[in-house]
Amino acid sequence: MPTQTLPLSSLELTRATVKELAELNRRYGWSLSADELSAVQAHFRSESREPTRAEVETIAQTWSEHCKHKTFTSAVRYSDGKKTIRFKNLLKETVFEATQKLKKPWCLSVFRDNAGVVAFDDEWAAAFKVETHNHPCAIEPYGGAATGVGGVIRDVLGVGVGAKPIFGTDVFCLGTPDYAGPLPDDVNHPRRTFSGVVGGVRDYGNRMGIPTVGGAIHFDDDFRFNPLVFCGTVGLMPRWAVEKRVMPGDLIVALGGRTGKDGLHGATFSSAALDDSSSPAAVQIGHAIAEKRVLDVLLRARDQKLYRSVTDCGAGGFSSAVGELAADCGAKVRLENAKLKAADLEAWEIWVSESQERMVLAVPPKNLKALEALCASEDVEWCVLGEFTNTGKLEVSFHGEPVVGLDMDFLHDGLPKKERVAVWSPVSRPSVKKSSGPTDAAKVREALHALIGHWNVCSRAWVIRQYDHEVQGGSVIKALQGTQADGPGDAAVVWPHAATGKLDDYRALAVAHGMNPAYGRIDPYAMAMNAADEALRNLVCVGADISRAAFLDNFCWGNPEDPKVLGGLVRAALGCKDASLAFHVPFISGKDSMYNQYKDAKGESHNIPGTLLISALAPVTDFRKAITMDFKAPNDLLYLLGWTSDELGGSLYAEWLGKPLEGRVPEVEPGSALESMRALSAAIGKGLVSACHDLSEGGLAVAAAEMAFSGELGCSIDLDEVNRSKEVDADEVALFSESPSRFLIEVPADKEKDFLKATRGQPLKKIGTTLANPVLRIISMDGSLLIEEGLDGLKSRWNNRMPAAMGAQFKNGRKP
Amino acid sequence: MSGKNGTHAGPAPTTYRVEVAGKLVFPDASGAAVAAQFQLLGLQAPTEIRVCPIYEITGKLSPRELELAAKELLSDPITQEYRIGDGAISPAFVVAPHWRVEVWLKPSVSDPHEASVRKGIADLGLPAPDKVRCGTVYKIVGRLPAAQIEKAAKKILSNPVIHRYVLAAP
Amino acid sequence: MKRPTALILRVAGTNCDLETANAFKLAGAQAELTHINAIKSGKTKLLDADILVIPGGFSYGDDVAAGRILANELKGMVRDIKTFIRSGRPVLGICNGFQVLVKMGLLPHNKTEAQNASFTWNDSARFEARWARLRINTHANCLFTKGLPEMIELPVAHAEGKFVVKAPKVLEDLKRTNSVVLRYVNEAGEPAGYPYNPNGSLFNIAAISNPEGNCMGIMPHPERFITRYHHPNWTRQTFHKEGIGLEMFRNAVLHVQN
Repeated sequence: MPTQTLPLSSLELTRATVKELAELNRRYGWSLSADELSAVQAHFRSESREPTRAEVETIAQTWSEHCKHKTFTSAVRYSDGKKTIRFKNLLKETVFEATQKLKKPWCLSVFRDNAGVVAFDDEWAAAFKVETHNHPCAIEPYGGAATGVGGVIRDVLGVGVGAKPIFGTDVFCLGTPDYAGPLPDDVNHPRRTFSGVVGGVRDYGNRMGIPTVGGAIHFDDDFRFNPLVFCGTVGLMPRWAVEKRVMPGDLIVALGGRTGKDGLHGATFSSAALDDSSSPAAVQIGHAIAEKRVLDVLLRARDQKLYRSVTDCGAGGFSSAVGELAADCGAKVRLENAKLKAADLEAWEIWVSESQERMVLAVPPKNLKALEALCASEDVEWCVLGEFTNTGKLEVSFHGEPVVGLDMDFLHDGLPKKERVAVWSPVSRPSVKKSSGPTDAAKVREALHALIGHWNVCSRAWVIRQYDHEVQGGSVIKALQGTQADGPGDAAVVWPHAATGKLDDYRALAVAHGMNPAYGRIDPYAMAMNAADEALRNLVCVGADISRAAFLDNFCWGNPEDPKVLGGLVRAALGCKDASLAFHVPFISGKDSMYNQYKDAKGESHNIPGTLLISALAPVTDFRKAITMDFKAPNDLLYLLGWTSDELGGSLYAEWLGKPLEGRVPEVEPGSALESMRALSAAIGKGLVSACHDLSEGGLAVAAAEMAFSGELGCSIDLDEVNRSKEVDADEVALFSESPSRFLIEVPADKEKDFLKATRGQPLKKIGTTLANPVLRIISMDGSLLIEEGLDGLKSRWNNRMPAAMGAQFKNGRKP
Repeated sequence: MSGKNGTHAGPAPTTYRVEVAGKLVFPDASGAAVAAQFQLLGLQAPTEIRVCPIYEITGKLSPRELELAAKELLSDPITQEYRIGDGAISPAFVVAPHWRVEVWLKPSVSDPHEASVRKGIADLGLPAPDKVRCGTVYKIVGRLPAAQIEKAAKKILSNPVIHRYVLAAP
Repeated sequence: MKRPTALILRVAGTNCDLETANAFKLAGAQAELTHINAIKSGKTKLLDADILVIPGGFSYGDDVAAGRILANELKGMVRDIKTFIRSGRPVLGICNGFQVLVKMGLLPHNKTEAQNASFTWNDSARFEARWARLRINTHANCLFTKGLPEMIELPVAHAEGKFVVKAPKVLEDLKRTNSVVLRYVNEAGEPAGYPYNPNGSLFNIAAISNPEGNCMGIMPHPERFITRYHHPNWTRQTFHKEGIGLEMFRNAVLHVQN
C-alpha cells in the first residue's frame, strides 16, 4: 500500500512566511493568490493544526477560477473616464440581475445547478449548458475537444436528477487553417487544431448518439495560440426531475469510470519527478462508450427514483462533486472504496483526480440493491464512497486515517474577497473611407468574391457532415439547407420525440448562437448587444418563439488582473444585462474562462481578443411551420427588414480594406429590433414567408448570395430601395454594412398583402425579386447595373475554401 | 479492495505484438488522407501511406489462443491480414521500401480501446490479458528525408503531449 | 389485430434504439428495448419476439472495427438468431446492425456461414452524414421494400460503410438471387460516384437481404425518415406525404400480421 504521509505537515504551512507560502503554492500548483494563501493559513492557525495535502488541494480546487468564478463574482470598481460604477458582485449585478428582474415563470432553475433549466411544455423541461475547454484543446485538440464534449454532457446528466441529452452545439474560435506565418515549435498549427477539435467533437458526440446540430466557427489568427472551444449540450427532463436534494444518511455512490492518475492536473505533478510516464499535461482523450453506459443506467435509475441527487465529477473530481452535494449537510468519505484504474494512487490523488466519465449520486440506502442490479445489467461499475451527514463537515479518510476534515462553511464561504479595478477608455475611430463618385464595380465584385469565400463566411459543410447531426431522429430543420442541402441555415430545430416518446406532438426546440470578437476589439459592449441580437435573429429565421427564448453566456477573456482587460469584460457584462432586459430574454446559465493569454514567437505575452458567445434556445410551437433560408420560387418579392447605417466597424469589408479597427461598430437598438422580430415571427407563423435569412458578416451582399445559391434561384436587388440612414450614400456601405437587426425575406406575391399587414409599422422595404435565372444582380443606387454574377461561381468560392485548406480529396458538393 | 499483486498461477505472462495490415487490393483511404496532410505541411508527397493497427497484449495466453484473438477479433478476414511478433510475412505485409512510424499513447493516458479489446478477448473465451495496448503503424512509402519524417511524426502522426513514437528507416 | 413485438437489441454504444422503437410504434408494433445481457442471462427469450432489430450506433465504440466485437459476442447466440431468420420473421440490421450481420457471416447468405463480405473505411476517410438517393431493386424479394417507390432517399451516417466482398462470386450470388436491395444512385437513378455513393461501396450497395428477403442489412437509416419533416428539403416540396422510411417498418409489421 502506498504510504499516506501528509507532506505538508512537515512543511508547516501555519508557520510559513509569505514567501514560503508562495513557494508552496508554486510547487504544488494550487494557483491560490497571496490573500487566499493567508486566509488558508489563518484558518488552520485558528484550528491549531497543520492542514493535510488533500485539504489544501480541496480548498484550491473549490476556490479555483473554474469552480468559483472569482473574477466574475468579485467586487469591481469600473470607470470609463466619464462615470465610475462600483459592483459588489459583477455577475449578480449584471447578467444575473437581468434574469431576476425579468422573472420569467418558465425559468425553472437558473444559475444554481450544473445547467440552466426552462420549461419545454407542461410535462418536460429543457436544460442547456455550454462549457469551454480551451487550454486542453490548445495542447491536444482531439482529446481536449472530446473531453470537453464529455464534460458538458455530464453537466446535463447532472442537472436536477438528470436530463437526457438531446443535442449538442459546438463553437470554435481558431486561427485560419491556411495560416502561413511563424509559430513556435510547441504550438499546433491552426489546421491541426481545427481538424483535431472537429475530430474530438465528432468521435465523442457521434459515439454518444447525441446529434451535434449547430454551432459557429470564428477564424482570427489571434486565436492561433489559444483557441477557444465551446461545447454545448441540451437535455430534456421530466419537470419533476428539476429539483435535487440530499438527505443525511444517503449513500455517496460513484458511478462509471474508474479513478486514475490520468486525471491529475499538470501542476500537481510538479512535486514528482517528471519522467516520461507522468506527462506534465495529463491530457485525457475520453471514453465515450463508458459515458454512454453511465447515461443509460443513470436515466433508468432516475425514472425508477433510485437516487435523490446527482452531480458530475468535473474539475476537482470527487472533492468538488462531494463538496458540492454535501454543501448544506456534510459528508463522510472513505477513499479506499473508490474503484481505481491502478493501485498506485495516494489518498489526495484519488480525492482530486479528474478521471473522466464519473458521476456522484445521493442514494437512499434502501435503494442500493436496486441500483446495484441495474448497474450489473448494463455493465456499469459503481462503489459506495461514504455517506452524507448532518455535521456540516467534510470528513474524508483512507483506510481509517483522516485525510480531510474541513468545515463546509470555510470551504464554501472562506474565500477572501477583494475589489478589482477595471478601466475602459473609448478610442475614437476614423470612419472607413469610401470612394467618392461612381462606384468602382470591379472593386465591389472583388470584395464580394473575397467575402463569400472569407473564412468567417465560407461553407462549414466539411465540419457538419462529419457530425452525426440526425441521430435520435429529431433534426427537422438541419444546419445545411436548400436544394442540395448545403446552404447555411440560421438555426437548427430539433423535435425531441426520442426523449418524450410523443410522436403526435410537434413542439420542438431551436438553438442558435451569436458571437463576433471583431466587434469586441472596438467595443465589448457592442459585441454583447450584437451577439444577443444575432442569436435572436437566427432563431426568428426558422420560426422559433423568441418570447420564450433563453440565453447562455460564455465569456473568454485574457488576464483580468489587467484593469483594461477587466474593463472590457465589465462592458460585455453590461451589454448582456442591457440586451437581456431590452429583449426580455433571460440568461439561464453561463460560464467564464479567464487568463486566456499566450506568448508569441518572440516571447511577448498577449491576451486573446475578449470573446463573448451568446447561445440561445427557444421553443418552436409547431415545427411544421418552420422555414429555411433558401429561395423557394422565382418571381417572389424580396423584402429587407431593418435599417442600414454606415456601420462598417469590425466588419469583414473593413477587414478586406485593411482597416479592421476603423468605422462605427454596429449599434443595436433592442427596443425597435424586438418589435420587428416579433412582427416577422408572426408573419412566419402565419405561413406568409417562404425564406428568411439574417444579415450578418458580409451584410446584404453575402446574405442575398447565400439565399440564392442555396435555392438555385437568382435575385435582383435595387440598392436605392434599401431603407437607410442619410449617411449611407455609397453602394459598398449598403451592400456590406453589418447593421444589426436586419433580415432578407422572400414573400410570394400572392401573400404580399397579408405579409404587409402582419408587419405594419416596421422598417420594411421591398428591394427586389427572385429570378429563375441563377444570377445575383445588384442595381446601384444610381440605377446602373453594379453586379450580375452567376451563382455557380459564387457558390464554388463559398464551398471550396475549407475542404481545400483541410486537404480533403473528396470535396463536398454534388460534383466531385 | 483487490490487491495490485494478485497471485498468478501457471506460466508467466508473455507480451505479444499483433500487427494488422490491410490487403493491398483495398486502397488505404486513411493513408491517403494522411498523405494529403504531408503536402499541406510543405513536406514531400509520399508515394503511398498505409495505416496499420498494432496491438501489444501481455497475459497468460498461449500462442494458439493469441492466434485466435488475432484472427477472430483483431483483424478482418476479408480486408486484412495479421502478423504475430516476427512471424511469417503474408502478402499484405510486403510493402515497397518505407519509413515505419509506430505511434503509441503514453502510459499515463487511458486508452478507451483497451477495454473493448479486453472484452473482445473475454468473449472468445480466452484468459483475460494483464495488459493491452493499442497503437498505429504508418508505413510511408517514398524517398523522404529523415528530417521530414521526423517532422511529420511530430506534426501529423502523433502529438508528443500524449503519444510517443518509434521511427524505423527503410 | 395483435401488435407484433419488435425486439430492439441494445448494447453499450447502441444509440439509435429510441428512434427505431418510435418508428416501430408508429408502424403498429410493440417495441421492446432489450439489453444483450437480458438475453444472455435468459431473462428475455430472443425467439419470443416477432421482429428482431440490431439498430444503429457504435457498439463497443466500434473499437477494433465497426461491429466486430458485437458480432463475436452474438456468435454465442447464433443458433437462436438463425432459427429466427429461418422461421421467416423479419430481421433488420441498420447501419451498425448491418455491419454486425455481415461480420457474423449471416449476410450475404452463404452455405458455409462464414464471413464472406465486410465493411471498410469510407473512401473519403471521414465520417459522412448526408442524405443519399437510393434505387430499390424491384425484383428483390425483400419484405421491407415491398410496394415502395423505386427511387427513394434516406440519410446515411457512418465512417465504415464501404461494402466489400471476399471474392467476385459473392457479388454474383447476391445479384443472381436478387439480394441487392438498395443501391446508391444519382438523380437519374444511375449508380454514380462520390458523393452519391458516400462511401465507395462495391456495386454501390446500400442494402442487401438474404434470398428469402426477410433478413435485411441496410446502411442508411430508415428510422430517420418517418415523417415528411425529416426530409432535408421538406420546406420546399410537397411530394413526400410522409416518411418513406416508415414504410419499411410497416412492411415488417404487416408481414408478421399476415
